[in-house]
Amino acid sequence: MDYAEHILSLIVALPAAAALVLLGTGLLLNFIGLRSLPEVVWRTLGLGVTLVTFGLVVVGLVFGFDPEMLGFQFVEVVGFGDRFGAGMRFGIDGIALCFMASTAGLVPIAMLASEREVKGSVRSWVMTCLFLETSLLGLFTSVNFLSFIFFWATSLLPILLWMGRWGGLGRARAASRMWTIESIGLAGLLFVAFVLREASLDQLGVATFDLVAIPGASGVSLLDVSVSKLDQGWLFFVLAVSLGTRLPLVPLHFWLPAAHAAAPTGLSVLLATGFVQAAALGILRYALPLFPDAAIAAGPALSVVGIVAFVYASLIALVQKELKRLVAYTCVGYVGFAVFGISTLNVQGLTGAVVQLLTHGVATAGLFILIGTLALRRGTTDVAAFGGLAKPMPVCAFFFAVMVFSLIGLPLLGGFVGDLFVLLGSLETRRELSVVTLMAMVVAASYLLWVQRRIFLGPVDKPGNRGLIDLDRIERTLLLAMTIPIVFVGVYPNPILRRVEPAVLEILNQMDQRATPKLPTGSEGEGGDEGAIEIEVVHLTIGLGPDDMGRRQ
Amino acid sequence: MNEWGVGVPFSMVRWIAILPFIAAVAHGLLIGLVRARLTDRSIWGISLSAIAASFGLSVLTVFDLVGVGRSQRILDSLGPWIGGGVGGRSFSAELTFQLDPLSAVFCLAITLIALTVYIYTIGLFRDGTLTSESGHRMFAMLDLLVGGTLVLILADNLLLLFLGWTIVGVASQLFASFDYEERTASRAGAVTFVVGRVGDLGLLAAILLLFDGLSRANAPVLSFRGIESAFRLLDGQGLAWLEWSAGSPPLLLEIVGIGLVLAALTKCAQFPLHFWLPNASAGPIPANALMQSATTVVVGVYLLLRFSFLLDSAPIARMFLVIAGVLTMFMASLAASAQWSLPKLIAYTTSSLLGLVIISIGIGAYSAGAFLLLTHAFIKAQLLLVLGIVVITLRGETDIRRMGGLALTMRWTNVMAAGGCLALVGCPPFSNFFSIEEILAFIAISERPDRWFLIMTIMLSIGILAFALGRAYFLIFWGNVRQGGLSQERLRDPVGWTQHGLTVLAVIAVVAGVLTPSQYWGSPWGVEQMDSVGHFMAGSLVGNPDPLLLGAARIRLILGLLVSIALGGGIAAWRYARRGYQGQSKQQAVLLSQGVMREMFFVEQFYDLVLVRPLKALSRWALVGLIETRLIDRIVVSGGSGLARRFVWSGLRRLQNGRLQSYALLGLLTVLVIVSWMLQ
Repeated sequence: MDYAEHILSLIVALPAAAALVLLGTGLLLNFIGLRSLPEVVWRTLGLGVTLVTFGLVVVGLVFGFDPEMLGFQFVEVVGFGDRFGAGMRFGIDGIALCFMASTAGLVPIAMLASEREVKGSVRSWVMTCLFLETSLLGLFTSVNFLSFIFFWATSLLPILLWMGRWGGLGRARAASRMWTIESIGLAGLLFVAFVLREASLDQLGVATFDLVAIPGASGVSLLDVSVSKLDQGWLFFVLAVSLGTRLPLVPLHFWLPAAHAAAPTGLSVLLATGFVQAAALGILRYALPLFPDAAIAAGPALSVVGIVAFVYASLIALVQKELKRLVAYTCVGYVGFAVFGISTLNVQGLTGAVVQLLTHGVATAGLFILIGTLALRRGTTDVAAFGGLAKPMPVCAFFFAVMVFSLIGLPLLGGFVGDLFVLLGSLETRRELSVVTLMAMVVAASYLLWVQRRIFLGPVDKPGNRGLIDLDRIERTLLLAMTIPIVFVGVYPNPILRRVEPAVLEILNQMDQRATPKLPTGSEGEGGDEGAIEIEVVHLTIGLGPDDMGRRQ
Repeated sequence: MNEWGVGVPFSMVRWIAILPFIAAVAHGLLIGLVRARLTDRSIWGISLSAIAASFGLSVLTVFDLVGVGRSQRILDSLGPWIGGGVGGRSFSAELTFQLDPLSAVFCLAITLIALTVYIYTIGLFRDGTLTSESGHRMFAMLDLLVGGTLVLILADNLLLLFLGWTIVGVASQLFASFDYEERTASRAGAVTFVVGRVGDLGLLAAILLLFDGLSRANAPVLSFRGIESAFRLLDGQGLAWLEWSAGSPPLLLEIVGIGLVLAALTKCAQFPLHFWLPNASAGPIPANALMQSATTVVVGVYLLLRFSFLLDSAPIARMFLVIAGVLTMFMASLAASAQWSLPKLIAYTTSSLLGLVIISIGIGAYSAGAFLLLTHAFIKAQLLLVLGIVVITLRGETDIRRMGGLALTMRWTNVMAAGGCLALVGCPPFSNFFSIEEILAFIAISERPDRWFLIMTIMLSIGILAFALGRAYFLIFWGNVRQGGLSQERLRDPVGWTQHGLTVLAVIAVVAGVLTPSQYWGSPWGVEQMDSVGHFMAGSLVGNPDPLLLGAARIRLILGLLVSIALGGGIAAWRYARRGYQGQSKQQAVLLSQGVMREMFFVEQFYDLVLVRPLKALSRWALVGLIETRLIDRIVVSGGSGLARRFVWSGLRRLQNGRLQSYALLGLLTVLVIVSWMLQ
């Protein structure tokens, strides 16, 4: 077995397999009458496994990835249920590569950040983390709709367990809300899957859920199935709503603030990053190429939904008094912004959305960790309980400022790149809305600044805030590890852009091939042809071959 | 390098901008990681050597620039920064610095002022205003401020310009909240940042729309040299690319111009976005001196100067400039004349004189505006630092009602302050006289119908300004000694570093008049063709650098200016020189109007009332109260679960009847359904 051909399945399976091995060893030790593995071993080994996974992602995928190639790479088939059209198909494009690297890096950070909050049942907690990592990585790597749904469902269980077992106040209510809304989403996904299966069986004679035609397997893909415009409309709607439950897209967001308020720090970190990114990837990988006509038709509406979500969440965050809920609404806001970017349906908008999901995800995760450290010291997350913390906790104040400035979108920090590209993309197709977005960004700046000022500036007037201890070595390391990618993307974004753009091009390419009227371009209906200078303006260069990719530099 | 720029083999342009950042990072590392206890000397040594080197390099590179010819520019690239997109919308922003006459002159002026301010700051260690901790912070922030300004000045493309712009904004915010443990300071920081953010987004909108328009015209460029040549090429080639949407008037340049104007107005503290500056002026003195002279307010005007080629074809945007400038000049002068707080008073004079710069750019006299900006920078830095000495000597007292008679003991300071006040309002022979007079001449020769209204308003405002500064000066230095609790021995002139820095500035403030781009003042000296620095700088700007107004008309203008200064100063002297502060006025109307003027017509409070509070109320009541709680929580979630409990669960509950047979039946049915479906 050549390791390089199975790198994806190896990476995906590793955490879960390690969890099972640990469990088995423990049981075996119990069985032969010895004491089970001590908790510290579980902790250390669990963390080690996640770090090894991250190492594999970096060495095997990040360095092995060919940015000049279009389409999925490292494609492999783990065959079972081929008759049914199901089965594991792994493969990644540039978008998934970035999401995987981010999530694989954040899982150990989340585990370390949560370590002190986990009281009791450390063994099951480590197993939960490892299974969660497997299912999130599985979501990013599946190129088969059914295995995507499989991982979608399996990622839900560890999260509910984590929140329900180790969460804070209101965890039962939050978990039950999340379970309700997520089960609706799951049902929607399954529904779309089986409609597609029927259609493929009708048209191709084979049942398939594959996104790429793999010669070894069925040899056909879902992209060969044609869906009528009418069917596309409601299928896209169901799919968008199902994925929107997890994104979460306003008005399906109501579970998120409660979830973040109840979730332990580590879970919040993953909820704000991998969880969101997986849902966004679902839109990019399945909703857009499978139902292109509907996506084009729904584009303007989706833009409006995205902008409304951004403005709405920003306004609500403006008056939040509890830190975790405030950052939860920040998440809702930036997801809305990313959906706005996706809805522009052009290269820059989609690229911007992906970069935005990456960098803002890391920044909000950083904020959650900082809030966790504050909660650990003060036992509360009410904004009113803090004030003047820059004096006793200057390092904490520094990292908070970095995260906030990145979320606000200051240049040289990661947030700027995503904002810039989304705005550039939106100017091409949604000019009026991009002006609205710019205005909304002022509000976003002011609420983040307000909370920063309330926590860190001013006099230390609460007795509980005197003599607080600044971040310790582990907390510093975690936050430094999250600051580095933010700064790196801000200072030198080209490596990421070079990997995301071909993937985005490929998505738009597939949409363009399958859509009956071609994708709308910025020049359409704008009388641009009358100008003498308009020498073949290429507004949307869909269908660039690999040769053309070199020209982008 | 390419047809527009010249690459100098070993270019040092980049280091002008980078050196301050290296010093800032060094400070950051020293505080954050190493936690080294450094001596005061090494703390200021890091920053001072960086800024001195920047200044030296600015001087050297100017010679390079003169060597390659003034119509050229020197480019120095560090490599790519952000690039992306495909086809006609692909772009690549590089970390490239350009040196042309405009940026060269500004670099020189900014690094020189920064150098003197740094030297002055060293003196603050001696009297204990700065400790080792706050010294690190102070110098790191000063470095950030100067570095950001230099990046903006030297930026070759729009995104790099935006980068410098935001660094300046962040540094200004940090300075406004320098004493972060005080509530007012932390609030001032937030106000500064949010107002700055409005400007940032105006600039970002302008940049993006300009780039978008140019890519529609098949010229997706971001660098200034590219944009300028694209403008030349596109001139007269149809206006389609300037349309917002099909059939709309070709207003793109106006919209871009208004974005730029919005950005500039925020940074220059112009009405209606001026109020952050009086708030921020509570920050430390050196920072104030830099922000109001050579960095924060300069970047706003520099942005407009850099885009003079665009503004020239955007008359509506320039009309906004004139309106904002006139209103600011008049209102800020009034506000200054009613202030009791010394830093706020100076901040309003900055707003006021920057208003004149903005008017000048609005009427298209770019070089005159740049000239006033530079002379004002030197004088304002000098005046602020001198008055800073007063504040420090009086142990942080900023209320001019509690000062008086300082001329007795602080003779040198008295002379410097008097000179600074006279210079600021434009008294000859100080440099501001030449620049203000030149702007008036430009307005007089313009064909505007409102030119006499403008000239009258400006002269009136300058008169009020003269009154405001005279009032402050006489209250502080003349009359009776009013500061209690301080022995006369403490009230003495500064020595050492502080004095040296100020003397240099004072000399420059006097002689900076030779910068004038105008030829008018050449003839009295018998110089036919003056090759001044201003003339050199005007090479990068649009328009004629010299107002062609000679003879009696010009002399009338000059006389008018002098009379208004004399009147304003004379009233101040008559009212305050002898008697000093006489206590509050007894008349309610006077008190009320003074209060209104002091708050500059309550613009800040107006925003709070009309914008911030309604927005918060909307969020609190409508969004959180109605939608989040009532609609979603109660109706959708609780109602939905209630319905589910009622209808779905009650149905399903019947299945859970505990009889094994029915469970088996259900299981069998399920298996049958699945198998039949799989086998079809």
